[in-house]
Amino acid sequence: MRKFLLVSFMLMFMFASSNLWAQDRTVSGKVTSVDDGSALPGVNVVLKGTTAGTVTDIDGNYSFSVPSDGGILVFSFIGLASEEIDIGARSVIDLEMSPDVTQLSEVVIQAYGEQSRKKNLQSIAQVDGEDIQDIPTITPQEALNGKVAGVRFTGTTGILGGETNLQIRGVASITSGTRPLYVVDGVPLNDVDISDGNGGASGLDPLLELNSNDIETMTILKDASATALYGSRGANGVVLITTKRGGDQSGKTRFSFDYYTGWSEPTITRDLLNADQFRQFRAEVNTARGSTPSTPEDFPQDSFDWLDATLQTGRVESYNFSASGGNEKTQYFFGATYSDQENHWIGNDLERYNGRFNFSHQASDKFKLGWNISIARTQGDRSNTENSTFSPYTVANLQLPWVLPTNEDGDFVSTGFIENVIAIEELNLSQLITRRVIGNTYFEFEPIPELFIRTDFGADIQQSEEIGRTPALLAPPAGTGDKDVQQVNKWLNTTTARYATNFGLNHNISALIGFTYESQTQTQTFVTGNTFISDNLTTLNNAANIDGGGSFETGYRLAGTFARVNYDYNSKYLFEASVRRDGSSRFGEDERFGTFWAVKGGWILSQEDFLSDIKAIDFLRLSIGYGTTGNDRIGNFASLGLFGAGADYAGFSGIEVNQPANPVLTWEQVGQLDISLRADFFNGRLGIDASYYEKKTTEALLEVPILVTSGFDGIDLNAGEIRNRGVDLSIDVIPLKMGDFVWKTNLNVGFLDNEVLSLPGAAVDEDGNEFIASGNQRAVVGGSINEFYLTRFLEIDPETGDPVWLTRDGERTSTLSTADRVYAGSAIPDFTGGFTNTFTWKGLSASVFISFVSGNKILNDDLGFVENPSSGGFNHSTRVLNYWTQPGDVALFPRLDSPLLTTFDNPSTNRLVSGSHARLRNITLSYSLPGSILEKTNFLRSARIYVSGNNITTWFNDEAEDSGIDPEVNQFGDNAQLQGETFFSLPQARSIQVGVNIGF
Amino acid sequence: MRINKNLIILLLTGFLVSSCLEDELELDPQQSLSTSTAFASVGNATGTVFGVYHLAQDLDVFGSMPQLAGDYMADNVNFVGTFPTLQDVNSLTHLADNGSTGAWWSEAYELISSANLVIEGVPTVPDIGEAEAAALIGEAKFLRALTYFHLVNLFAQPVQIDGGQSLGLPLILEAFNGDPVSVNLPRSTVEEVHQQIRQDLLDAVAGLPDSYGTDTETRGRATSGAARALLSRLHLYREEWTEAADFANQVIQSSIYTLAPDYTFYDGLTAEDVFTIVNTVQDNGATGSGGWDNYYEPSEQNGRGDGTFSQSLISAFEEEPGDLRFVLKKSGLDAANIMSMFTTKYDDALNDDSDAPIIRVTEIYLNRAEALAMITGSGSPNTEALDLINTLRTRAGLEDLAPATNSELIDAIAVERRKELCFEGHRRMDLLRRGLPLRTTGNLPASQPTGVGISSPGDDKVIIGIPQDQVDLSEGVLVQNPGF
Repeated sequence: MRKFLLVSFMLMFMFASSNLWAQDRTVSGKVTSVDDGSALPGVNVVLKGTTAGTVTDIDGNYSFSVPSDGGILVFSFIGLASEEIDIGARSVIDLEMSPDVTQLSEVVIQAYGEQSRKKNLQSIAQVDGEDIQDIPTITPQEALNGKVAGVRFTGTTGILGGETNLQIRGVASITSGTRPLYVVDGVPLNDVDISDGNGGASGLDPLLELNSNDIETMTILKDASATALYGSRGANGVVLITTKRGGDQSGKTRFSFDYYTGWSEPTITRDLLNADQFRQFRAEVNTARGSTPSTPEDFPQDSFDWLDATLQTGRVESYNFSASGGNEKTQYFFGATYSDQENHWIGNDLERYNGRFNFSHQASDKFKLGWNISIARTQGDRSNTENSTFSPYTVANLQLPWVLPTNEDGDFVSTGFIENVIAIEELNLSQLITRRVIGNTYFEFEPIPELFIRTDFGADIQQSEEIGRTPALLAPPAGTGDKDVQQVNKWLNTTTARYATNFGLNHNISALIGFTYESQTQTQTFVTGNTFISDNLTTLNNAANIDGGGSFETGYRLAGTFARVNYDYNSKYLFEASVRRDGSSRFGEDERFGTFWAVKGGWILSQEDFLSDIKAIDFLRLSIGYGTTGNDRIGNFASLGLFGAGADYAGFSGIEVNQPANPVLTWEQVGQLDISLRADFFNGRLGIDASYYEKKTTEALLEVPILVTSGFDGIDLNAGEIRNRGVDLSIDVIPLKMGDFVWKTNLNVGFLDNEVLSLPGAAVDEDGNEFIASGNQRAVVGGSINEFYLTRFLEIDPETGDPVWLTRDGERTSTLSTADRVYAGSAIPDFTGGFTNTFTWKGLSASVFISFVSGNKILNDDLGFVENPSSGGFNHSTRVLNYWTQPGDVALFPRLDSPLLTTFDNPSTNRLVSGSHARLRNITLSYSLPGSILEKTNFLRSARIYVSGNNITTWFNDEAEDSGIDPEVNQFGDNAQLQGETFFSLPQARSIQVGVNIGF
Repeated sequence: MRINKNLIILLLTGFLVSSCLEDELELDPQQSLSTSTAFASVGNATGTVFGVYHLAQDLDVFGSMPQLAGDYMADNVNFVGTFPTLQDVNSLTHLADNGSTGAWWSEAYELISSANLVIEGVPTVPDIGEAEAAALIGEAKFLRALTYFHLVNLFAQPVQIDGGQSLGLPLILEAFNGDPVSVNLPRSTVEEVHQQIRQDLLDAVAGLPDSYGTDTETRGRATSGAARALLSRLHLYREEWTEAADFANQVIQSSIYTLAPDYTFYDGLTAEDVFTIVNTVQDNGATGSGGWDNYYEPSEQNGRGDGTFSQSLISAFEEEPGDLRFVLKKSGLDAANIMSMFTTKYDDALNDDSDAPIIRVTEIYLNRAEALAMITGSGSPNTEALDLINTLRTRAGLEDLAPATNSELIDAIAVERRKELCFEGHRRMDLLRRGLPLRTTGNLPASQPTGVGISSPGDDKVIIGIPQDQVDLSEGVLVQNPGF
């Protein structure tokens, strides 16, 4: 493949002929913009079929020798529709050029630069802020759900501000995380979790403090040619976010105001037994099993609906105000947002304050400076989720329905192991405050038009403050309190130089070179105490005993040098090569530096003569490339032998070995092949993006078990191999365009095949394949990273009423044995995607967006508790009433006197459901006031009103819906080894928003 | 040309800056010490030694789980707990993939590995005094010896079965160098393991102080007395009576240890204690799965209520009424919700801070008495041995014994030993080394089907299997015990 590229490259040079031509006369003219009549400098003017041509000067003028018999002039410029003009006998040809309506003319954001869509070779998907403005999200990347082929998105704990799980082109790592690198205006964001608890398995969202309203574009870098410039951090893909600038140079200030308000509820909840049903059922179970109490009257006689008491209508309100403007020298964007959100179950809310100021100033014609800065504060009440008896939703499912939260006097009582969450949410303080400044200051220098130098100082300053206080009632005898402050400070400098030129007329070459250095420190300080004189005192100076406290510090440094070269011949044959050398303090001295590279070649077939006559084809480009990137997320000091404190003894401070030295530890390597096609037909009515990729991770970090005689049970080795391959497909169609009526549709699908290729040193299963187990899932050679490994449940025997499982060999058995476990499906879908239809007619617009997922399995661990008739310690789903009573019954549950009733609740495929589903994720109706009315106001520039609904309906399977789970669950957050499981995971929100956008 | 110059300057600056920054990539952790800094000062090195004691507190090492098992595999304790892996051990049907016994092996080797690191690291500490170094190394060697002895008793047959020629343990004596192959060693014989333990203890005797400034340290850290006491136990188990008696005598003669006047010394760090692993509220080996207090306290007093008096032990006490040691009991609800009899030697399952009894001077009295009596063999009772036993009986409120023969005395010593040291983890080895079955038909756990749990000396299941995953990982180097 590399050879192919080399040959292509050489061929391109051979094609490059000199511009010798019989030149007999001169044609000249001026090129202006159709929009405002301004002069257009830099427009390419070429004589068709030749390499002869010129470029317009600063005033839009050109002058150029042409053959005496004339010919056709081709005018082209990025962002404008190319024009072909027959010279005829004229010697002066003036031209007004208009913007290119097809998106091909647009610019796409790339690593450390940008490129026209036409010449972009990288596998990139760009989502504009406008496209996602009506989808209410806590953090911007949620809006990518179903919008971009090859990007898979799963919700996690449902806590406001909790991290969602975003995977670009599969799961490339087993242990080092799958989160992409997020880069905001050139600042790679901090990549650490700085909250301690009260949020379930997932940490804080890395983009929590980023305001969706400020976003101009989000660009997803998928293949190696796109991510190679991020070197050791590019393996999981990169999300580049650019924020809005001041665009209007007219001197006018544009204001805009946006407001929305919304209501939410869970998409689904479980049908639980009420107190009467529960008493009746327990009496039946006890009677059948010969134990007591055997009548409903002998149970406690109170009733309480815990689910109802923990649910509420969720609310959101958001106010956004922005101003932008400037003149030809200075531009600015100012934005401020306040939003307040309350979750649809008790104990969780989030308030956010965001401010942004982006500024740039042209100090001279060669020198420009600017900054982008955002300041944010979030403040929220947090609650536990999932595997916690302090989680409202978990307790709502488990609490016995006769347990009351209060006594006769109306005072809260303790409810024991399954906590009184109502009291907790009422009385406890569990607050998280985050503050964050993300910004950069840059200087740009353009000594000559071809050379552009930029240096950029960036920072990501992040702080979290967690405050907990439990009153005496819930933490006898006199209450407890804690405070935890964490700070992550990163600064970086990036300097790049770009040089672009052409030689001959058709050889366009540009080069980028740069270096970057970043340094991050993370600190934590915490204190805990107990025994407060009053519940009203929250701070820890009021605690009689300070029973814990400490501080912690870690950090890393990264230095990278990188370069990229782009060459194209006549905008037809394109070539790009990138390289980056990274050094990181995270790696052992022997392995500190790594080099990553990518090459890609492209061919714009539609420029070729043999296709130029086919009117239907607007544009056709084929590209192929290969490159490498790395994953550096192994922890900051993973290669050092470390002693840690806390190994105390008898009041003396002790230290013990935490990890053995591992000087050869290095980054995971990902090599990726990408073949892409971009095609546009029928004047922009049909656009297709298709890519095939094969992404192979080598040196994947594995914890390989070693003999414990070493003092350790495992050691991290760069040993595993994983392959993700798939097809990303995105199709844009304008099926109907009649007068003012336009119907646009987009379909995107990402097909993925994830396969573990080798796991040297890992355990070996019955079939001789190596595997790494994690709970009920295994990463297994020949299978995916997330294969469920469970004994197969067959049925409740209609004759006997006993459960029947299958042995490994497929024989019926009444003995549930772990020895009979088999691979029962993967948590990774075969394909995911989205389907959007937008209809506009004058100011009216309607859009319908459906997302879909197919082929994955979900493990519903809730069932071990709420569908376990053998235990009277927790409430049950109403499904348990469907138990076997007489021969011939096809029942969900065994007969109540079955000796296997206590075995039945153990994990088996009985808990596994299909995860395939489609979801009406968003439907929006909006109306914008027409220009004629706006003009009359003499004030308004734009005005729009909309209503949108989210997760309105879900097409899932009956089994899953009956058991009360939402398809988007992910109990273990971004733990790549445990995907697609729920243990009382919170259902997603179904919501309605009403909003206005006003510009003036 | 100007452009090129600019470019060149820029590139040069860039590479210069990034090459300067390469030094910046050397970063030291702040919250942990790298192996080199762990031994950069005497203070740090002392911390690594306390770290080894910390590992000794572990539930699976000296934190009660194996010690409790030693008492219920034998006939002192009725195990009521529901933990399936522990029930397998109770019924002597345990397999080599038993998760609980696997941890006994792995956690103990973690301690040994840390001790090895100390033994290698301390000599590299700058400016450390010779005596200071010898003392720190002595502590590590004592703990290593104690742990190897504990392991070899669990995972190998006693010397009495095969003259010490059966397989013992892989002897890991060097710090782990990062290469897994370096720790894949075959099992040395029991004899070889014993010789290594003896050598470590002799080194410890030479290097360790007799006492420290505080009671906590004198009782809770290794001392030369503790090393001598353990040597006495080692030789007793090996039936090397003279050495056992001599080392015991050195301890008994020391003014640091005196027999407590009554039974209030438990968890007291008194002169009764020769070596104890200290547990405190903040810092102990207990986990949700158990602990000394947790296992032995009834459920209504925050315990698991897992370990109760066996009927056999109750009978043993009832045979001679008035024994003050039988006062150390109380009634409470056991794990099966039945009123049962519990020991009071561990008494606070809320805080789990009862110390782990490892060696107390009473055991040394018993060691010397037994050794002397064994030297005497047949004929009249050994008088010194009889005196030692009668001293213990007086404290227990019992009358002096006057056995007619030495062999009667030997039997009497065994009974005293059982009653003195019950619930302290000695019973299994005290039976095995004397060629006695752990349990006979009369004292089986009630929950077991008939016949399960009876043993004879030398039976496969009186010892524990080498963890199967370790045998598999060793690729044939670690040989499994027969019957697993």
